[in-house]
Amino acid sequence: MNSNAFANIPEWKEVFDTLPTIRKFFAGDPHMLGLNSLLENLSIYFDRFMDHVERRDPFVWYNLGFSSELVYAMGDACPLPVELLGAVHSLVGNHRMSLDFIDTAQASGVPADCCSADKLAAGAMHKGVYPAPALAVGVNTPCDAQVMNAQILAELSGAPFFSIDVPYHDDEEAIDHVAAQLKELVEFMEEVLGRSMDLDRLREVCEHSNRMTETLWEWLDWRKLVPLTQSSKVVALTLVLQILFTGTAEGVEIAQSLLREARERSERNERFFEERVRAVWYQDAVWTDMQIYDWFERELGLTVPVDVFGYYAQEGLIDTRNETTMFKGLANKLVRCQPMSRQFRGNIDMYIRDFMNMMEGWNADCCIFAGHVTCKHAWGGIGLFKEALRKADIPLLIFEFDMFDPRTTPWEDIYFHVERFVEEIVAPRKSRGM
Amino acid sequence: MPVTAGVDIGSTASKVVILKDNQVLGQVIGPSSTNPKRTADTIFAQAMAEAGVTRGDVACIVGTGYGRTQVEFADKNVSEITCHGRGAHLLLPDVRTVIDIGGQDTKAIAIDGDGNLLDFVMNDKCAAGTGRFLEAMSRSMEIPVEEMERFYFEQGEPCTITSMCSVFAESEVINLINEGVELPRIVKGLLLSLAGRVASLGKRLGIVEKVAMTGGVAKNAGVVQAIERRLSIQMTAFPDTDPQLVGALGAAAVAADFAG
Amino acid sequence: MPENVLRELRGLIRSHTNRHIDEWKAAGKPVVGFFCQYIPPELVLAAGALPLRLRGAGSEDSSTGDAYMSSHVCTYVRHVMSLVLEDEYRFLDGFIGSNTCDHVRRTYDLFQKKTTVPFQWFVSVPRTARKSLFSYYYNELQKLKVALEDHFQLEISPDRLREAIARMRNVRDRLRRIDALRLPDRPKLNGTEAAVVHLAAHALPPEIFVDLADRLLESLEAREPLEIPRARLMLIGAELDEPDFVAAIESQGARVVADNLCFGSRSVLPAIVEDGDNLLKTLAETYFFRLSCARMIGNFPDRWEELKRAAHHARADGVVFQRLLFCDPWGADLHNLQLRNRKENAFPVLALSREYGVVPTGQVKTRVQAFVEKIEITRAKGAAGVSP
Repeated sequence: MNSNAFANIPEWKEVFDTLPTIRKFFAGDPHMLGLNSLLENLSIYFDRFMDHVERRDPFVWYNLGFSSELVYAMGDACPLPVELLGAVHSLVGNHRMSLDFIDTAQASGVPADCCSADKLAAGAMHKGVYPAPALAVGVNTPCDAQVMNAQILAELSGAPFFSIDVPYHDDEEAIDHVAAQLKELVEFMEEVLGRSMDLDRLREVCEHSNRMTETLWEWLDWRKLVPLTQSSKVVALTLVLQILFTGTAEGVEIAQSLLREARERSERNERFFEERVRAVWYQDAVWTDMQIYDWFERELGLTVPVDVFGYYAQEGLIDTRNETTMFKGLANKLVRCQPMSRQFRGNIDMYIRDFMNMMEGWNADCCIFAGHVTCKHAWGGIGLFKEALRKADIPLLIFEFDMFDPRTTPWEDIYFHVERFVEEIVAPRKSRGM
Repeated sequence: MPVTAGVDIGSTASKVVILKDNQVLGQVIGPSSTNPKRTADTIFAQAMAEAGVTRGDVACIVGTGYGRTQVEFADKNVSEITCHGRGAHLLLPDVRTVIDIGGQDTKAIAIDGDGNLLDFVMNDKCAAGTGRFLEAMSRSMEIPVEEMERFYFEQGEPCTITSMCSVFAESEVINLINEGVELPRIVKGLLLSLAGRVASLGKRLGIVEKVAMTGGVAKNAGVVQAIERRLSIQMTAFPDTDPQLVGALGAAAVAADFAG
Repeated sequence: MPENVLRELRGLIRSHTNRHIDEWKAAGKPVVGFFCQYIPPELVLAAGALPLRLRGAGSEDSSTGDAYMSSHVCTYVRHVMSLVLEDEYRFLDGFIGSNTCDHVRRTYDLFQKKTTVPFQWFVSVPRTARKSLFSYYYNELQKLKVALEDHFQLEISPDRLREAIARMRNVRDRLRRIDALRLPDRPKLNGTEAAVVHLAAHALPPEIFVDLADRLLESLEAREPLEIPRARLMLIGAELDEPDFVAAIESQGARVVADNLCFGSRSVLPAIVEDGDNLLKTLAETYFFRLSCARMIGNFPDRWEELKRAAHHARADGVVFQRLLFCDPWGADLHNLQLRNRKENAFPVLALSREYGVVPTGQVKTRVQAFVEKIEITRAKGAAGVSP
């Protein structure tokens, strides 16, 4: 299939048709620097993607627990997280497409009670909308759903497959264990792709990765200010950064735009909404309807200064002195820093501790536990999480929904849950001075 | 060929067909009850009366449906999946896929050119996409199931019924009613939602034409059309036969094999 | 009479504990519970403790577990945790957690925070059985060994480990013989009975089991072989410790002649060589490389080949894939298996989703009956020389 053929299949054509419209829509707001930069670089990614197809460059498929640095260090290889197309359709509101992926996956034998992120990936692979990979990488984080995704990826990619095990523990041994596998992965990629990794390129990639992380830390600091001036939804959208752009100049640029936007808005005290209540949004974002966060801001005065996807733990940067330190740094990232992988993979203490850090550090009033119905580790820990919050006297809303399938809980219902929580519990409590 | 009978004790309705030389001598549809043994006795007696035969004339009886083990007078019991395939084949030899929406279960059945069962896919445990779903909705809207068809073909855009689960769908329907949404729009939404579930089963099986629908719900032209739309196919209708009787007919045909 | 022994075995597995466990405890010996096959019972046994796979048998309601784990988690795990949280497992002296799956992983959090079980340890098992990852698993088992030694104040010497390996080998030898009796056209025992025996092996001290199994094997010699079934089935999937489910399948005229289940034949590992110089390593290698669970990423192709071989060996007419609702790892296998089977058409497959503790209803029976009929039709066509 040549690139034109790819660009013209409906699943891609709709992306190319929709993205410019959305960009135009947000470009009208010169202060939405972060979102605009994300959209712009997403368009660039897709254009480059098609260039890669045209040049017949090798594609590396992987599932979302992995991050893209090592692929970018392999010269002209193009990283492709297999959830990508379905997630983009969901984000830009082409639900017809994303639900078609979900239904295709179920028709192909993925059980209904499994994660819709997996279904987006499996559906896209079954539909053959991705260029064939030169190799595939599967990783077991952050959750069982990714194990499932990796298993299906291994089966459907039809390419040499390498898997990475990120253990339960997060001690030094765990990091050495992952670092050794990353080194193995590079050897594997070198053999399959027939080229060697360029150490300088890896260093450059790691430096980009570090700069992005540092910039995000600084950005997150601005979001601690009360009231919040930057929109809530951008914090969840940093997931796209994490999966697609870590290790690239574009990633740094997006992070810098987010930072600049937060700083400038705070300095000018520029707000679209009157903040009444601040929540830590724990677990999954409403990817099918990101505008819902705008509604929360406008109608309820509810802001989300931080969530699990945007929270970059301050657990160290990649030491770029030599190959060994870089592998170790990347492993450290996978084990201790990568949003989700850090909190979802191990014991419940880290999950609760990070929540408490967010709660305190970002001056939140409450927690909204957005329970993606098939997120088993989160539901499996819900009792202990609830107890911890009760002990700390933190108001908690728990609701069920599906992060990629609006048929499970329509947005009106989500809005209703959140509205009642804010108006009847959190806001009155705040006014009582609690 | 000898006289044979098929007794299909479903979760909602019970059916009997009496067959000789592939010709129907008698047929009865009645409601199922909490006493399937008595139901079977009663409707079988009615069917024999209609056919003008006595028990001694019937060479073999096959029980099928959920209450198949309760048909004490049956010589064999065979699953309704095999029977629906066989019954559909008897009426329409070109059919290769049968969709049966029953009270508890919905099935997509693949058969060969002789009506033999090749493969089947059934719904998950819950009631979504089954006849039960329609019944529950009919209760909350106070519209008899039979009248839903009329509403489906009225003007108006369908509502979106998002819930997969019949319990939640019921509360969605109640909400819509309380918001003053016109009934035809809700009914359309419901039937499309049901059709979506059924179509997904069909996709899992792999649809081969021609396709026919059996079971009581197949009498609802709205559902049939909604499924046709979801699967982009044209259903083949059974000539002069109530689709609800196809399972019992198939059972009688299987009984003829045994009576051989 | 085999019926007497079978009745006794059935009684011993009816609940999550039994009188032999009580007697073991009364003798002052500890019991250590765990969920997953990747925790070698030999190591626990060598520490003087009874290794016990946790089961939810006897739990009528999972609401205590649900309160902590919600209703979106595996019903098996929720039932077990209901028993744990209701203190029904108060006889446990230890619990070894593992990252088998997210559901099982979260039970360790609950054990830690909600129970007073004195010995608690976690083993992180790599999610891929690659050679280069073996050392991590081996190291985890070495740490477990030290922890057991520290807690129970003894040394797990090579002799102790050798003895434990021999004891578990005796158990597995009996299970292998039981499995062999399932295979003939007219076997000596059916799949439901075999499931009972397998389960008992996980619920009893090894010597008690061996004794009962020997009595059963001896009495089976005189048993009249069972009838030829309408269909020979192989039953696969993850956890299944409910013989009633197997009985529901067999009630439709089918017979489960072989299985690949966690509480079944999958745990009958090849004999572990006892005379090596590093027994723990040999043990670890056997568990790491010879067990094939869907939690292991990338080994589906091997599992598929092994399944075809096993189904062929058992002369199975079809494969029933049972899966507990909400299980992601086995959900992936179900998808991959159906995909491969569509290409290779190796055997008919019936997928059944299941919830723990729910008596199989008409829905299961209807599906199995139709599956059996489909198999019979295919067989009849084959006999008549008609291509399917």
